[in-house]
Amino acid sequence: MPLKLSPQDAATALAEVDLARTAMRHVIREHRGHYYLWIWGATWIAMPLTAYFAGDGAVRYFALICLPGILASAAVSLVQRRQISSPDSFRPFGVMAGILLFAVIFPFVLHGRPDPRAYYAYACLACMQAYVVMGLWVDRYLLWLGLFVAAMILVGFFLLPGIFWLWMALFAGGPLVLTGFYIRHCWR
Amino acid sequence: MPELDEIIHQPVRLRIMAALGSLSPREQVDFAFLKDKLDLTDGNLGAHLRALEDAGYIAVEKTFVARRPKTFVAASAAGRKAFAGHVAALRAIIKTS
Repeated sequence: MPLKLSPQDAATALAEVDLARTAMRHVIREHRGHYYLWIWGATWIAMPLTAYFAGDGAVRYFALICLPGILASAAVSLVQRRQISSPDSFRPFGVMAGILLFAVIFPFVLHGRPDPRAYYAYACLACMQAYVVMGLWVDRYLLWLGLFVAAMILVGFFLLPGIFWLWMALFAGGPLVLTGFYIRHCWR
Repeated sequence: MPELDEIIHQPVRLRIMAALGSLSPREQVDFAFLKDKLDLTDGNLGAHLRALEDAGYIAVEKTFVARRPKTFVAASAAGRKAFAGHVAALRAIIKTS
């Protein structure tokens, strides 16, 4: 015998569906990329600010400044994978790790001591290439963020060499942090 | 006209399917995490998941994470379709009233 429901019962059931969906949407929102954007935005602010105040020689500490970011990203990934798991969740990390290895670390190994500013701009552009790839592949906001920050990097490098490090902190690291806040608080 | 699904209609199972249906098709959620989010007990959630699994509406995967047993749950394609049909039937009841 087919199930029969009154309109009131149907409305109650739909309200239950909405509640469960809202709860899960909140969870999904927590699993978006904002933690990574905050972590790497802060790192991308810290690195150029260090060079801005301490001089170009401070680039030798950049790897050290990145270390907390790497550890924090690994911790976030571990916690999130224990809650919601997806076979695709390693893809963004794979893309980023591959680009860092092939486009940032290998050229450094092959070329030796490059110009710190040019190399930092290049490394940031290579990371933005990963954002553009992931934007085309995973989530569209990363594409626009990648293109915007890449444009800012080029503007800072070619047009504002006098304030390059400050520019990079504000317009390369800053947009990452702000996008993190936008995703966390404005996306539903 | 879409028809109500007797298996999904049960309130707890309805909430489970609504929650799982919000995830992308390749995502799966941890049993303990789902239990916490839906405010259910182990036994209650386990019993309803079995009913949904028997109907082919969800897939349950048991695995080990850091040597600890973990159970991940995901809505199947059949489950998503049945849930969408059930919700459409609920909306139709309200619309025709």
